[in-house]
Order: sequence, then C-alpha cells, then structure tokens
Amino acid sequence: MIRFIKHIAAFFSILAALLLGTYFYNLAKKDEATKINARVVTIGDSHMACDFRPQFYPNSANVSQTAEPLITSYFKTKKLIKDNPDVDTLIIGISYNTFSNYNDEKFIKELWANNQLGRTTTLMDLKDYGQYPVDTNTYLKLYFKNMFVIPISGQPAYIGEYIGKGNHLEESNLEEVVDKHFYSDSTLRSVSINSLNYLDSILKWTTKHHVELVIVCPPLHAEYRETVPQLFKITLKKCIERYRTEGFTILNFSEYPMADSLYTDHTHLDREGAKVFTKMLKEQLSDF
Amino acid sequence: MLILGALYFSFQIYGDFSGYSDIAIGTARLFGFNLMTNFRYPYFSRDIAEFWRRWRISLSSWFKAYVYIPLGGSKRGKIINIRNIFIIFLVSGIWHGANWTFLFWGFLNAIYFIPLYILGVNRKHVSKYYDTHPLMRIKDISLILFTFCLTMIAWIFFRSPTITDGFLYVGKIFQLDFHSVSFKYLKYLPLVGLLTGWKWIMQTKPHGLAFVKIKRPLRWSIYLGIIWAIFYFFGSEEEFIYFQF
Repeated sequence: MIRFIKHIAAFFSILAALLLGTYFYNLAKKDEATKINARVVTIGDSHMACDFRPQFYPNSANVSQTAEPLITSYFKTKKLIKDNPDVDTLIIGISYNTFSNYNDEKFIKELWANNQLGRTTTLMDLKDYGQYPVDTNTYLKLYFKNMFVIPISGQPAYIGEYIGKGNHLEESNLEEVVDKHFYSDSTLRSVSINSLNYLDSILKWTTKHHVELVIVCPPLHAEYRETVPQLFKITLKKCIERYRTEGFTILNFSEYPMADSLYTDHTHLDREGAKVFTKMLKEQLSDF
Repeated sequence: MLILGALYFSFQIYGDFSGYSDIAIGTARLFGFNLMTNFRYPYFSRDIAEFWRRWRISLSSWFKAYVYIPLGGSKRGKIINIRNIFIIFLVSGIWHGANWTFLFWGFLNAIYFIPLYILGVNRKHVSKYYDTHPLMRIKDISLILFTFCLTMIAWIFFRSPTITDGFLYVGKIFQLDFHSVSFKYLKYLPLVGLLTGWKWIMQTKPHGLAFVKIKRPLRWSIYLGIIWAIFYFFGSEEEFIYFQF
C-alpha cells in the first residue's frame, strides 16, 4: 500500500512539475511584446475581419476577430500600441450590431464564452472584464488550459487575421442574423452601455498615445439594413455625429451600394468585395 | 463530408460508451471490484455477429440471459430463433429510447445478423486472433472494413432525428460529392487513425492501456501524454451520450 501511495505521489509530482513549468514559462511569455509589422492596424469584429484585405493596403495588418466585443478591442489596442510604437493609425470597424447588448453576453453565453474567453485569458485578468458577466467556470478552465497546459508559441490567440470567403449570399439566413444581433427571445435588445463606454475608452487611449483613429462603418446589404431596428440606427447615427464633432475621422460605408456579387452574406463582403472595399478605404484615407 | 460525419459519429459513440465504461471499470478496480470488460475492440469484428459479441458486452449478456433464453433461445427451431433474434434486436433498439430511429437501428442490425444465422456462420469468428497468413489477413481486414461500414450505416439511423432524415443522409452519401469536403473537418482524421492504430496494436490485451510490462519511465510518459491530451482537448462541457440510456 505504501509503495502504491509512493508511486502515485511520484507520478503526480512529475505532472505538477510539468504544469508549473509551463505556467512560469507562459507567465513570462504572455507579457512579451506582440510585434506587428505594420503602421496601420484594423481592429473590430467579423465585419472588419472579412472586409479588410491588408494586401491591398500598404503597411497594414488586420487583427480583427469574429464576434469580438469592444472590451476585447480595447485591451488589444492598449497592448498593440504599447508593443508597436510604429503604429500610427488604428482603423476600428463598427456597425449597428456593435451597440446591441448581445455583446455583453459574449463571456457568459454558451454560444460565445468558450471561444471568446479562450482568446482573452492571456490578454485580460478576471478583474478586467469589469461590468461584463463572465462564465467563471469556463474562464478558469481555459485559464488553466492556456497557462498551465499549452506553452505559448506563435501569435497570441487574440490576434486575428483577414478571413477570405466566397460568395454565398443566396445561402445567407437573414432572419437568423437579425435575430441574433437585435433580439432576445423575440424581444428587442437594448443598447449596450458597455460597448459605448469601451469605444470611448479606445478613442481616449489612441488620442493620448498620438495614434490616429479612424472609425469605419463597413458596407451592409440593403435587405439587412432595412430590418435593423430603429433604436440601433439612431444609436449608430448619434455615435457618428458625436465623434465627428469631436474631430475624429469617420468613414460611413454602411449604406454604400455594393453589388450582390460582392457579398458573402448579408453583413460581410466576399474576397472580391473586400478587395474593392479596402481599395476604397485607401483612397478615402489618402484624402485626409 | 457526410461519410466523415458518419465516421466521426461512429468513433464518438464508441469513445463515449467505451470510455465511460472504462472509467467505471477503473473506479471499481480502485475499490477492489473487478467489473467485466464491456467493449472488446468491436470495430475489429469480421462480421456483425462478432461485433455484437464485442460491443457493450454487459448489456448483450443481460439481454441474452433475460430476454433471449426465456424466449427459448436457439433450441426451438430456426423460425422461432429468427423471431427471437428480431425481438432481441428490436428490444435492444427500444432500450435506447422510445423513438422509431432506435427501433430501426435494431431492425437493421437484425437484418445484418439473420443471413449469418441462416447460413450457420454466425459463430465463425469467435477467436479474437486473426489468421497469420498474409492473404488471410487481407481477407480479415476486408471483412473488418465491410462490417465497420455496415455498423456505420446503422449508426446514421441511431443518430438521426427521424428515419426519413436517416434515409436522406444515407442516400446523399451514395451521391459521392467529394467537392464538399472541407479541410477543417479532415483535420480530425489523424486522431481517428491514431486511435485505430493504437487499438489494433493492443487488441490482444484486455484494454488499450494494458502495458504493465513496459518500463516505468515509458509507461509514465504515456500516461502523462494522455493526461496532457485530455487537458488540451477539453472545451465546452459535453455530456456523455451514454447518460441518455
């Protein structure tokens, strides 16, 4: 019996040593600079991830990720600007759904929590999530996995990239998308105060660090725009007016008439559409 | 893509059922109880009769003792026995849930089994060792692949929400549209290959981790690798399929 206990203790000591070794390695690694070889960085959710093709915009990088809430964009902005003093322009993509309170559920709802928390455990501490409800159980599991089990290597999980898609507009389920963005059990969602606050924080941070901030509203299909509830149309409009008054560069392409053949679904552009949009953006920004 | 779906489900249900049984066997062993083996490398069966001698042995034994034998077993002539075989497979299907899909799954297995019984070859593959002659090994492997395909088709009905969905799924498989295969789904194939290879090597042992004679450092390294893989692959919580039954 004693021999058995000794064996068990020895085995688990080795396991603990391996886990702790990985933890201390990751602890040092996670604070290392995340280098981005670009002067212009685009940030945002799937709109920017699908719509901005860095290969058509010199010296740029797209770090956007699907379903990214503005709190994550804020912590990413802080880290990337700190680590990359060469970055002089940050392009942030916003849309009607950016201000829907479904963004407040990204760290608690089963649909998103695993994915979203998996990306941010090495970027944010538990206290950083502030007003956002967090599925603590999932967070702790992912923290354990990302800090104790998998040694950090390559790009951090919170750095996204351009996602090129083909034209699948015909297969796009408009009702499902609108429902996800603006309704909860058929009830209209409210505006996310957290999203408004974090957008504000991003603007303040970039101003403080002398990085030019460009707010971009990517193109949306007319059928989608027609179904967006008035509340979110007004919120986006007010937001644009406010920041324009404050002197920020705002490029609103949300109602820009793009051909159906350039969309992958009702809210994202396909590869060709992204090429057209990126070139358009480049032209517009060269005028400023 | 649909073939991949069916293949992955076949391995998911095997991993789920067999893994759950292994947890129970291991836990009982810690308390000094020896539970019976429940899955004996069933996907290496050479016919469906052998599959049912290797798949979920505890439940099959129970059905045999409490349903099949009280019905007369195999002692009352071929016709009655065929009826008994049908009953036992249908009951086995119903046992998984009150749904036509489970019943059809049981029926399909009976359809697979009865020709073997009529031809008197249902106990042909009783030995767990395959023929060592190279040509006979090829024959064995072909039989294993054929039997696996049959069980995979049956699993489609087991998993489908309705029988119609099951038929649609099977029908579309035979349209053989290879253009729809996406890399992101292919990436799990090496894991399936690894599991199959490992099981093939270990098939003469009582279970997949029965390598007591291997030197401790290597054995412990394998255990640590398995624990690391469990931590690495865990994601959102998934309930055991086994819990439904």
